[in-house]
Amino acid sequence: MTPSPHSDHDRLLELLAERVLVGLDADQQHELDSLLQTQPDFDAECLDRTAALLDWAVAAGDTEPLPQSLQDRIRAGSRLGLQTRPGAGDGAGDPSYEDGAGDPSYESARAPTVGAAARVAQRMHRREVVAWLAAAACLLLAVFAWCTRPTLPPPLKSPAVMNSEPPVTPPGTDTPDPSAAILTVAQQREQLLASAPDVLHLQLVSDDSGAVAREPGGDIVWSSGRQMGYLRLQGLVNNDLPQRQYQLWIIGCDAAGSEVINGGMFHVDRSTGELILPIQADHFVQQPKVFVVSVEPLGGGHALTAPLLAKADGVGP
Amino acid sequence: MSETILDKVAAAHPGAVEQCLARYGPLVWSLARRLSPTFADAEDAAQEIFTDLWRAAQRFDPRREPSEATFVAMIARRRLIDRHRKRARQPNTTDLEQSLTMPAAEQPDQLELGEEAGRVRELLEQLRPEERQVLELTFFHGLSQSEISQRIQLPLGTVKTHARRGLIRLRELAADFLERAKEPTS
Repeated sequence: MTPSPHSDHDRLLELLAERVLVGLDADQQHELDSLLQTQPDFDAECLDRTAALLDWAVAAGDTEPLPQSLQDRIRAGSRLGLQTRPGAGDGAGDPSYEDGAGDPSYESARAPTVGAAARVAQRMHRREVVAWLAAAACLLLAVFAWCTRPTLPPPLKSPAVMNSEPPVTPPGTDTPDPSAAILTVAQQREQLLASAPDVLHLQLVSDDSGAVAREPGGDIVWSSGRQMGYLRLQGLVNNDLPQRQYQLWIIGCDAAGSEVINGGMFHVDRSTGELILPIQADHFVQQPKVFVVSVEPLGGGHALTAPLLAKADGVGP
Repeated sequence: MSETILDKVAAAHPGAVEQCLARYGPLVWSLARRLSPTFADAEDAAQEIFTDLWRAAQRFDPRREPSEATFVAMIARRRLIDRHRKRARQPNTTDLEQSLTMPAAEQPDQLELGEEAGRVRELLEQLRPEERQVLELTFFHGLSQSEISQRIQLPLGTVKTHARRGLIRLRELAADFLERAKEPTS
């Protein structure tokens, strides 16, 4: 039985909506291609524009710029990208659905994979091939350096307690600022305080009976724009290794509501002096509300359960 | 007709990339953060979106697209959906993050929309309530359909249906809006 043009039209719209909302699998993509062939005048991107309108409306009030380091990466990529921009009729790497027709989720038409490398390479200029080889060499070098690193990291992201004197490089940063390599953690903290326009500076208040701290004090410096910050602590007693350690939590709001984010774990092996720790949120902190230091089992907790030690709150929206 | 930023990008004009980053960086960054599970993932996504944009710039046709911004948003969504599907095929590594998530509290609607965006919001108001709710959770809150299903206690299939029908209906409602947006402004 031949489907009616009306049901074809409805099914076509259904598939286009599915493509915009969640993407299509291979069978759905094949079905969509077939339907589009029967209706060549149909605007296959009509729902993409509708969704784009919504996306644009949502983002209209969001003026946060791209992080500077990301802008630098994009600029660097654009030099190669613009050089390799395909000419008319060559759709390699183009995200247009038209170029992805027949390809599940239009992926291989848009993102060259290892399996497609040979085919893509044929279209590359010699200069690009050299660039890719250089990148591969760098990757191998990085892997070698990683394999031969002197120490093993802890099981979860955990900022080591640093004296504020020795120079350190902020961990967890893909492309560290070269100037940061010669700054102490304290200097980096000061730099963030002075330069981040959205920086939060919050005092820690004790919420502990004295079991784990003697007059704990300190503060939090945090920039949501840069997604980085520092925890400064005073007066903490040593954690009783190997059973317990300290952990920082960031309680904030994301699109779905409240969330608790692991801000990193640390040990204290001396009870005097000032400790400054880089905060290592293990995922994006959208709108921080409360910062909490707690005592957790070694290896860190997956949820905020242990006794609260100190907190900094009162962050406005 | 004046040259658009994407025209300049396509022609590799000096400064075009800077202009594009300044104009559309916040838009791309907003979408990437909304539809990515982590900060690092959002950064990678944004980088890929701009790579796509450099390649697709020459396809921008102001007679066909409502605006440059919606064209950029279209490119961004495709890439973000693509990345979402790739993640879905990989072993689940989000247990830790999920376990860290507290019970969801209602988030006050604090979106500051501009005038044009406000008109889009008005179009949404014309949808059936269940369709509007699903689309708002999808686009405004960046939730997946599974998350929406859990959140509003509806079967996943029903959520999918509401989302599809809502988007299709919105396309009909927005037809005039999209046409007006294409009209050149002095």
